[in-house]
Amino acid sequence: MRFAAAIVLGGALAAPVAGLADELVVHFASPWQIALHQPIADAYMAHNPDVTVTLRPPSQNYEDGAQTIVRQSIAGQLPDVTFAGLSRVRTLAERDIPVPLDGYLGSLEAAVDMGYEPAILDIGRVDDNLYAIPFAISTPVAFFNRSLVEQAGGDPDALPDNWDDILELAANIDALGDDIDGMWHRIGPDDWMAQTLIYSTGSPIMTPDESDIAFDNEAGLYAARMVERFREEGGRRPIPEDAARQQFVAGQLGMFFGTTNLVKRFEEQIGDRFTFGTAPYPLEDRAAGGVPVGGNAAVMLTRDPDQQPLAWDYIQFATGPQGQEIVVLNSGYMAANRLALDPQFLGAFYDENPNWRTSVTQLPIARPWFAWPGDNGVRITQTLGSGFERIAQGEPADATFADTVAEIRSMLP
Amino acid sequence: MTRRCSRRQTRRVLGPLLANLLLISAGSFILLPYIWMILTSLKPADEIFLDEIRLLPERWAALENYHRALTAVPLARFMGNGLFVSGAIVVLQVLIAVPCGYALAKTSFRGARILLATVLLCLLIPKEVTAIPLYLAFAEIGILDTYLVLILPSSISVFAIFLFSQVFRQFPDEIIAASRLDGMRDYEIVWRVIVPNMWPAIGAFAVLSFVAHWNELYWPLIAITSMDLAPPPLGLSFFRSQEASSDFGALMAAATIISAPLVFAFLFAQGVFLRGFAYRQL
Repeated sequence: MRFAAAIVLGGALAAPVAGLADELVVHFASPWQIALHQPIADAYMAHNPDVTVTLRPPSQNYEDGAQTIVRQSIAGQLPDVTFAGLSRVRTLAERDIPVPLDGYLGSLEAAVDMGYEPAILDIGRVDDNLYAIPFAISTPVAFFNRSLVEQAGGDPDALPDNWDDILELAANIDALGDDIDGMWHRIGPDDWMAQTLIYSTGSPIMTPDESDIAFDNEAGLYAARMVERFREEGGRRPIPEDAARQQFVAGQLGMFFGTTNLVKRFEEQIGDRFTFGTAPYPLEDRAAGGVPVGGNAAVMLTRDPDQQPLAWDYIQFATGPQGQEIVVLNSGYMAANRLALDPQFLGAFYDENPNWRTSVTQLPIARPWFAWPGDNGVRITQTLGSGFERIAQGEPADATFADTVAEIRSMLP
Repeated sequence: MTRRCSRRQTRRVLGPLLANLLLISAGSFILLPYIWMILTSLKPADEIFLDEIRLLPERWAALENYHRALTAVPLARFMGNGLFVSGAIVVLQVLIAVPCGYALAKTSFRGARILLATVLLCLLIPKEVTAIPLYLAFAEIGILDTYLVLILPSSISVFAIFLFSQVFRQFPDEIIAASRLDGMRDYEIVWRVIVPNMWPAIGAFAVLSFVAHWNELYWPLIAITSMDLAPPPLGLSFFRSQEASSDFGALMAAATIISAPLVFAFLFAQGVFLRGFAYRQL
């Protein structure tokens, strides 16, 4: 009896289902990014009063987000647009879920006119098809405590740009006090930073035909040995990222190498207790080296031809200068659209906040955060990340690297 | 004489005093994370991670943290959803599990033992296993994204069936036989004779079940696609960020708000709850 009442009640309170031509349903992952998506949806609706943009409850992270989209594609519950983790676009494309965007974007010249750099668009390509337009992106940068650098005899206006000098500076900062550490560099749990070290030598991650890994050579050994040097020369302790962030914010860590995304919270959490600076990520090969881009990208999912123009219009708005201004100001992400750097948008802001600009200067050397092919893709990411993490915790670099490479090879398709 | 008396008095005072001090220190150890949560919810961002321990902030930010927690996301709506969904689940679970438990404990029928063994085996199935088949089935029926789909999969609790059948087993058969002689039917015996005697067990189960479903995020995120139906933990996740570092002040404010109803519910049900634990040795 009461059971029946619950059914009636449940039915009556059911939310309306999407599907009208003037409604756009948007999904994203990483719930805090509502701080980006809500203002963008509001701004879009202000420009287009006839359209309602509905945000779905966000997935907890990019991995869950991709799983949700795969699941909803089976049950016919797909949203019109999703914002997928950059290394998950491939997961969706291999299942033929997204709609290619090449036709909407037109020629490459037209795309550049719209503010999309070719290097940025390459991040959203899978097998030469454009499936995603980068929306909220970040690159690894160096954060440093200006007063600790100065006390240790360094120049806070010109942080060294090579690891030899950086690690020497780190050792000097380390010597300033028992509760002060010289440096911390992100390593795991994923392979973002392992790829950063490999890309910094100019090496690709896989061979062009994707039959084998391309860093089982000096490039990979350099990356593995750098992690060992962070530990031995730089005094990097194997503490979790959260703890290292807190240590930096407390003023007890000289240098922190991680995502530029942290710049906003670091400013809030440090306040005026001390000043910090940012510097580009040190490259081993200045000419050929690059940095992998993390973050997420807009993906069109709707197969309804009446719905697609609206979805494209929204993607263009979110990845265009207005959307990107909102993204940058509400997070620490960097602008993914060149037009957003114009004075009328973020130009003045970047001039006044050089700490935020560092990542933008790395745009020309942006590389895709390589997504591993095949069913074991996610496991390879974890294997590479945890292999490097083991070196950071004290295992010998060369032997651990050899083990990791063998393990990855066994999982390649 | 007087000295001996006073010594005895001292002992009588000192014993409980020491015991209580021990309990208080152990209790505060457990409470420390909660106290830290509340203290953090009062602090501005630049006073949360310092190189010293500072209990109270120099600049109070309670108002802005709680304001952000309550206005940045529809936290009140999420908590209303949690109240309705968890409440409905607990009521349904009790309504279904009580007769089932009675049938398993007090009636004899063919296959009763196998049925009980099946119930026990069902306790071993993690909810992740059934999530995808349930999702596809509900998609087929077309009731995804409703309150119903949040409530239905949890409406039968094998744990409750097992727990209640154990409680029924201890209930004296004589009383049931006597009730039957008075002309009562089985459902009257269950609801009018036995249930009034097992409120401690029901209360204990209800609190555990309510808390578990209040904190549930896994199934809701699979089954719903409207923000209007989201449960309380989703409200928390908006302030938590791995990539960009969390907004700790608002996060702790939201955590305080979301856990407050549970704390009050527990304090309210404490008597019943503890009696249930002691009585049945759960």
